[in-house]
Amino acid sequence: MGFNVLIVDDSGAMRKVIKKTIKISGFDVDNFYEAGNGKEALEVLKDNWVDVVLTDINMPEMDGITFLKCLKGNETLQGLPVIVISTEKRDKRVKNAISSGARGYVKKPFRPEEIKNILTEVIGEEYARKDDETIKECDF
Amino acid sequence: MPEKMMRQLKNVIFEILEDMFFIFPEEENEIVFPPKLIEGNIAISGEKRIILRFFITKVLARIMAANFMGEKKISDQEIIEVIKEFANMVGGNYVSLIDLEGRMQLGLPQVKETNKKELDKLTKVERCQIEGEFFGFCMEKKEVILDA
Repeated sequence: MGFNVLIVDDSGAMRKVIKKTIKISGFDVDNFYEAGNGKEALEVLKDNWVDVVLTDINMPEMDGITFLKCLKGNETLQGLPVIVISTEKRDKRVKNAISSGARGYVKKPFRPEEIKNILTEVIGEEYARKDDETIKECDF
Repeated sequence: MPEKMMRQLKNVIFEILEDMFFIFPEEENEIVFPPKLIEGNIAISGEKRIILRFFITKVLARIMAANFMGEKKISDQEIIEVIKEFANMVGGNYVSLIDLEGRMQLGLPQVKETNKKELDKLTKVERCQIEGEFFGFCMEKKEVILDA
């Protein structure tokens, strides 16, 4: 079974590029969902099961940091792995994203391998966590 | 505008054009302004407000969009989005160089049509040639006036 991925970026062109990068990286993706900002992303998450989110920071209406904070404050969504893809390279901004709940950070411009590596790391982590939970559930 | 700032900006622009758009600019100060251009811009706000402005011919903008997206057929909307993304990438990378503390705020990129007349009003526009097309950029610094 493949993954469901949500890409959040106000640029449709950038969403297309990220989607293409994930596809050529060989990930088994069932569904790609897209949103133009944090607010739209929260709407998508209301109705759809998503395994991993890739989000920009600098967006209109609801930026990536506010979106991360909303996820962190939501009991159902707080465990959802989020990777930030942003032009912001400053330490303070990166730390802010991580402390707001991001599991990974990729700086634009990026190379396709960077997306592949971070996704492997985060999705791998997610798998490991699910496996642990399964073991606990089965531990009589 | 201090020379160092323009040099830093030029390095950021050239790097992004090469890495993400696979095009290689050549400095060409004699090149004349084309009559019609697309302008991409982004503001960086702090104690001072800096506006980075980029001037690109439509032909070059289409090449940039096609290279960036890896597609031959590109819509006008996609051209606008790609130029916005270009401005965003340059703005984000440039602010990371000049403001290590993270005090300055990056605005949202904008794209509009412009012309030679508008460019003639600007004091200094760096000019390049890319794939035989015009590419220019400049930086404006404005004082921030706070309301009492």
